Amino acid sequence: MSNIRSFATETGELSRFAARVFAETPKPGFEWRELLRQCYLVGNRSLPLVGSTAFIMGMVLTIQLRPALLSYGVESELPYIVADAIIREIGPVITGLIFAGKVGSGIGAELGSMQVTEQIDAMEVSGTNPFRYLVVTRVMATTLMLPLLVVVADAISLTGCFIGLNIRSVTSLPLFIDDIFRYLEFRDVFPPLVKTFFFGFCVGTVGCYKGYNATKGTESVGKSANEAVVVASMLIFLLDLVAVQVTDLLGLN
Amino acid sequence: MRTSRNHLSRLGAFVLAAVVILIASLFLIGRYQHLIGSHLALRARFSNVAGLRVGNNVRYSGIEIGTVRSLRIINDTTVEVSLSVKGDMANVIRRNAMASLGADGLMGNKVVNIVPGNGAAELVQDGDLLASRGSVEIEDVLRTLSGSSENILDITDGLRSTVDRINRSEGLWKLLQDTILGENLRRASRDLATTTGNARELTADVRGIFEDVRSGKGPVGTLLKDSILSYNIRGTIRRMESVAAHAERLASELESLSRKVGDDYSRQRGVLQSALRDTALAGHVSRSLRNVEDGTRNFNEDMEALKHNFLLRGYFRRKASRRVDSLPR
Amino acid sequence: MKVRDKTYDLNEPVIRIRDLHLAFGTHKVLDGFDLTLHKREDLAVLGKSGSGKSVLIKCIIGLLQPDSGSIEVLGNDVSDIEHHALDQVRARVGFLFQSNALYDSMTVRENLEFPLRRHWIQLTPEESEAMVMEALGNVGLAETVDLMPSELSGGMRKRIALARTLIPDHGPRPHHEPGDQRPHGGDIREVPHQLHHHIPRHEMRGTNLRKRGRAAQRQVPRHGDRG
Ligand SMILES: Nc1ncnc2c1ncn2[C@@H]1O[C@H](COP(=O)(O)OP(=O)(O)O)[C@@H](O)[C@H]1O
Ligand SMILES: [Mg+2]
Repeated sequence: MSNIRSFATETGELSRFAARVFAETPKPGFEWRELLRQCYLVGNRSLPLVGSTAFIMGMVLTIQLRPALLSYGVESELPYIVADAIIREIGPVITGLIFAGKVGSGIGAELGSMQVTEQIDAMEVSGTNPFRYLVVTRVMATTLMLPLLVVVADAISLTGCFIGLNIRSVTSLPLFIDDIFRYLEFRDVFPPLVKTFFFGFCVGTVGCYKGYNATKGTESVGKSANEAVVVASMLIFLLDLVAVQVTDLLGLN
Repeated sequence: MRTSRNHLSRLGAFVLAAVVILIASLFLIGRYQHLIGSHLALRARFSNVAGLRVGNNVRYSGIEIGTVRSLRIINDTTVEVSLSVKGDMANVIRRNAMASLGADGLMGNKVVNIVPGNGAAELVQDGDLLASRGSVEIEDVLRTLSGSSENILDITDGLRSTVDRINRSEGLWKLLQDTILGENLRRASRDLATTTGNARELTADVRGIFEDVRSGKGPVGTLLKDSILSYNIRGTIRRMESVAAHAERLASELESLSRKVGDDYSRQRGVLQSALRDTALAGHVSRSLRNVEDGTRNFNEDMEALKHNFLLRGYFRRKASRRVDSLPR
Repeated sequence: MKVRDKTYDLNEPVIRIRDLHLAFGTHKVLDGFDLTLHKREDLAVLGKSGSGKSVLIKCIIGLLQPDSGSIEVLGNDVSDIEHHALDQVRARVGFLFQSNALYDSMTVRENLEFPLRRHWIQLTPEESEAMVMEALGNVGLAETVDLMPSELSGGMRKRIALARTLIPDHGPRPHHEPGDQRPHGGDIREVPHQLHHHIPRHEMRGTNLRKRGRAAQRQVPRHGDRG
């Protein structure tokens, strides 16, 4: 019972935190420099991991789906099927999860230790709104960077798919591109792109929330980082569920 | 906090790369969807579009040239389909071209096929209304196929019983033993037996295919890929039906003849003797039997043709290999 | 909690706290606390660990909101003030954190530049560099300007933190000409010099008291010279 209550409280606080991000963002004196720096850090921190997993996913998916499609005699559809799976679901979700693991935990730990060592208070006293300087910039950075990372990851995945195809058979690059794009539609691309903005916002907000609300003590820094990953990952799946239903309602599936 | 120039340029490179990929893929999609570049609008009217949807493909002689732009109900019996096709098709499609509905495979998307018409005509202009041709629905074909198989089963049952009766009529055989007529009749009944067997097998096969198609599995789905094939299916089935009807007529003729012969024989009235001596009757019987022979040969040929039909070939081949596998060693 | 209160000048109270209450849940940390601090006073608040010294100083600087009571700093009630005005007050108060609170992702220079980000302070890069170097020179650590806090010893970190609290009060102040539209006009320059050693800059605990007291005393002539 008390678990349910604390869960509800936590949800409420997280929502208020997210609302505060929206409320603080349009105020004058936006921290552009810090935003750019955070964008760089966020991308730089996650790109190698995101890129390598995307490559492996694309290749493995291709190799594993090939026998099934062969038995139906539709091997030529393999590029499109892999591309659609990656663009619609695997790219956004896998990238989102890795992003949560790498960037979300980083933000949780960073803000957590800043809170514990009173750096956030020091900013407040120094006349800089720490919420705008630390939280808004990070949330903006994750919201803007994750979609770009997903686009790049999708492209890397399809490179993996192309190489995976050429391990067993021979496909030329123009044919591969034609196989994918002759069936691909805007509705295959836009809804996943939109949902990655939400994924990014969620990773940034949860990371900042957990870090910002770290209590005193070193172990709470670890706890912040850990909880940021767990909660952000859960939320990504939840958002994914909502996204699929919304796109379905809009007739975009 | 200073963001170093190096960091900024790396961030910029990454963002640019992502944006370029995104724009390139959107452009590619757009190109395939003909949303970018010139296009030609055409219209066609159908009484039933059978689930055609906006975005379905338009093909000209089997080549994708555009998509369905919109569907509009004009009145209680007419739906107007607006097509958007590549601009350069304005130099290819002529006014007498016909639009028809088809499907991309058995379960696949609906497509609009534009088929060139016969003879010369002007090139189409933007907004032209093309003549349309009734669609061949795979569902209809399947229904016919199912009905035919029932018919064939009935017919073959009739044929079998006739042949049995002739076979059992030993007196008749004795009487006809050394005549050419007897030989003919024997051969005819043997053929008829093969026909019956074939027809039975075919019925079972058609049933099997029908079941497979209904449950959406098996090779038929891929075999039926081209919508034009459905014309061939329909033709084959019509042929099969006419042959079956023919065989039925012949069989009933044969049956009535044999019944008459049998009755006469059992009543010991000696009519048969006289009948066989009567050249007119003999001529009638042998003509009947020749007809039966022709009919059954035709029917068998059709069965054979059916087996070699690309549509069912894969199915029969698999069936044969299964039969070989199950042979006792 | 003992309060040692040496009074030099009764005219101008710099801090006036009346009937301050603050509790964390059921734990009453401040329970009817009163304090008056005048110009030119040195004040040390003593108390054993966990008695609420840090809580008090955070109330004064507006980092914690009291449950009830009033806190006046330089004539402004910091427990009931809009954010911008609070920021103006904070700019005139030097505040040193117990744990230094140096930004560990930034170099020493960036740490010292941070308080200069206040939007009404508009400095050219040269001016801000000059202020940073002067503050560092005052604590004798000019050579550490490009180091990260993690590369410093504990004592160095404490002195950098001190330099950071002093920085708004040093160097040239731009936009100081008559007719300047800035909210605080001229006295933003003046007041902090005096406040520096009057407002409890740091909680002082047991044995550390004397040493820190002397460090604060040493600062005085320097400010006096420049004033
Ligand atoms: N944010 C807080 N939440 C709950 N209790 C707190 C908080 N900050 C301080 N306290 C409590 O207030 C009391 C006073 O703390 P503090 O002022 O830090 O002590 P000290 O006098 O040693 O500086 C302590 O008992 C501490 O447990
Ligand atoms: Mg303390």
